[in-house]
Amino acid sequence: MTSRRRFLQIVAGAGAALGGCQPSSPNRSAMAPAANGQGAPTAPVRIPANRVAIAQDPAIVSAERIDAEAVDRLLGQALGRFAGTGDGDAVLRALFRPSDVVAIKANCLSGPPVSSHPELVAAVARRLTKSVGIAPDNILVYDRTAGELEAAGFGAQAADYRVIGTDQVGYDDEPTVSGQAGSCYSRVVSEMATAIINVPVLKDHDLAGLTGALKNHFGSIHNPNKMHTDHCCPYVADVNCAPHLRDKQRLIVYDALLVCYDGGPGYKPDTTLAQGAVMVAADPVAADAVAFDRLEKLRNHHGLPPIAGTERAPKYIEVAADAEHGLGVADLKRIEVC
Amino acid sequence: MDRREALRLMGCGLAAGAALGALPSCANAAGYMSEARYYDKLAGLKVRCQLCPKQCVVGDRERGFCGVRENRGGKYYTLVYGQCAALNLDPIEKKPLFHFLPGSGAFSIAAAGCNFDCKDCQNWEISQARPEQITSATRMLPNDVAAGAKRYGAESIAYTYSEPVVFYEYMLDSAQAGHRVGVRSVMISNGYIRPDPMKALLPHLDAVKIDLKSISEKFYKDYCVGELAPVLETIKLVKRSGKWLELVYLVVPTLNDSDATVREMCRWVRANVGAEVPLHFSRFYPNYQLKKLPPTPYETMERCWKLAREAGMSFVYVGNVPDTPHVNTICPGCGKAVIKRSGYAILERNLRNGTCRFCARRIPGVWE
Repeated sequence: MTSRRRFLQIVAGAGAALGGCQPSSPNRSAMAPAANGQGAPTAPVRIPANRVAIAQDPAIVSAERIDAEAVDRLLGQALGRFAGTGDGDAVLRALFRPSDVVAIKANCLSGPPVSSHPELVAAVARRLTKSVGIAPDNILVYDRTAGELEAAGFGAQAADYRVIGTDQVGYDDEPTVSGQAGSCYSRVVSEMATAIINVPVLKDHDLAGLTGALKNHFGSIHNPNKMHTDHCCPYVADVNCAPHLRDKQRLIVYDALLVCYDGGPGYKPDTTLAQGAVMVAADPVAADAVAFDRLEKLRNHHGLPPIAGTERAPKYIEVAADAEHGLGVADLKRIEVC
Repeated sequence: MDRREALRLMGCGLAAGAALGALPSCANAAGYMSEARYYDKLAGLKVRCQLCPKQCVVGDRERGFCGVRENRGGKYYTLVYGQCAALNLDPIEKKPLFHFLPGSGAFSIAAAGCNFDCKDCQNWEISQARPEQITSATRMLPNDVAAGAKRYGAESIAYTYSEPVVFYEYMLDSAQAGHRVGVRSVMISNGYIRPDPMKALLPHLDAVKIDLKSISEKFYKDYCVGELAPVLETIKLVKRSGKWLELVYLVVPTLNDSDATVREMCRWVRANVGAEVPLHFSRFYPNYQLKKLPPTPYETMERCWKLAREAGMSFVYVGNVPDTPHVNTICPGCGKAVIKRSGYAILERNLRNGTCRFCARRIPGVWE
């Protein structure tokens, strides 16, 4: 039986409902104006909340460069698979409105090449503009500092989006307490943005096992160093439960163009592989569960022991899915990978 | 500046160098860092910090729990050396140190960071911040700190507000610089430090105040993300060193204020560092992540004071409470006030060469 909790109801120009994640901004009218602002009704798009779509072409990544046009095609494929109809733009029109201010969370901590790739982020931004009608000025690519963003290739002069380091706009004046985590959130997510797209990088993490969609938001808070105790659990889940993130995050675009399968999160050339993959999901827990599964398979393929069962296994993924957190689905058997 | 003017300035925030513009070498501190002194290099460009009991294992480009020490390519750095995030000329009583140069000024400095995550931190804007988040921080190297203290007539430099353990190198070098110009140093700390760095630091300190936040490991784990046992070891270590020691116990309603808990804490203190260590009960105010609790009732503060006295503690004080008589230093011999205070101000001093003027009983402390 299909429950409301299991399905992401996406209606053109309306909002999404994802288990414990209740986006608060978009209205839910089935006859909401189309995102192009023309008022034409669009057929509802119905997507299982636990769907994770993957598009992959390792050939688009070489040691010298990443083919930006190919990355855009790959993103289109992943969005189309996520939609189930092949029409990826319909997903964007359903999830976002032209009036949205969309924050794109890049992950730039480790510098290139294991940061979110500017080619992928630009592709996301261009599609938001072209398909939804969101002005580039209202697309904010952010991370902790402008310096880290610049080092990862996000120059301040980008045409498709604005680049904002939280060090330029600051954090909330008061902490938000969420479970065991208490943090001040970046003003980009708490004040400026109405919606968030998370663009994590698929990497091994020496403490947390995996750094992906959920953990990427350690870059949205002022005190990530306080959240690494006990292998980041339950802190990763708690940080993501804060309303600033839970209510605004609508899409995950997983950057698996290059994957660091051991020795992360810093760049390790010997264990970083060109995978040329992009994953799209609305459920950050499902996205991380699938990402971790791929990470384990890569490790196995290269003769490395599994992370699961060790003390650094990313237990926070299951915790994020528990009844207290309700952030998504962690059980691979319940996740539709397409 | 004479002593009177310095005292007039006490308690006035000298916002991170703004009021000390004439001091030497005060420049923007952005990006300043220095190699950390206590860490091991591990395989895979990792390091293990050996400064505090957390002993964080830190990967390349990551930071320890404190947020102010970073691994860069297998080398561990402090990011706060010489990076002064707060600067005040405080009365020493504000630390609080009641038996150490009473009435003197303490040139009080802090850098970002802490190795605890206390849910009720009163200075969380500094202590729970990463260095780059404090844009008002000013570069002030150890010699500048010593010179500033001297210039403002302070008798000591206080490492305070945040947690000086995490700016250890800066504190150590400043303490040495202070001693070179005749200024003493006091460490205002949570006591969460490993024995070796503390032993290396103690010769350069003159007094240490330690927050004993509870006598319960569970409290330390749940509300501080720390541990009690290493703190107790540091308290004993300071006492054994002969350096002046005072303790503060922040009384948090419902969490550490039961009769049994307070009695147990007092028993430990008396048994391990003696009845004459000054013990300050400080009143909690809701702050940071612990706003659901009310301020500690005055009655609770009074009860704690009585429990400590009943437990045999000789010098028990109450802080953050207006108009309390429990800020006076009472001679255990004759029961008269050897130092009368109003808040942080000294009203009357009845000490003579470290003894009670009325009965000649020795009053422990550093008085000159």
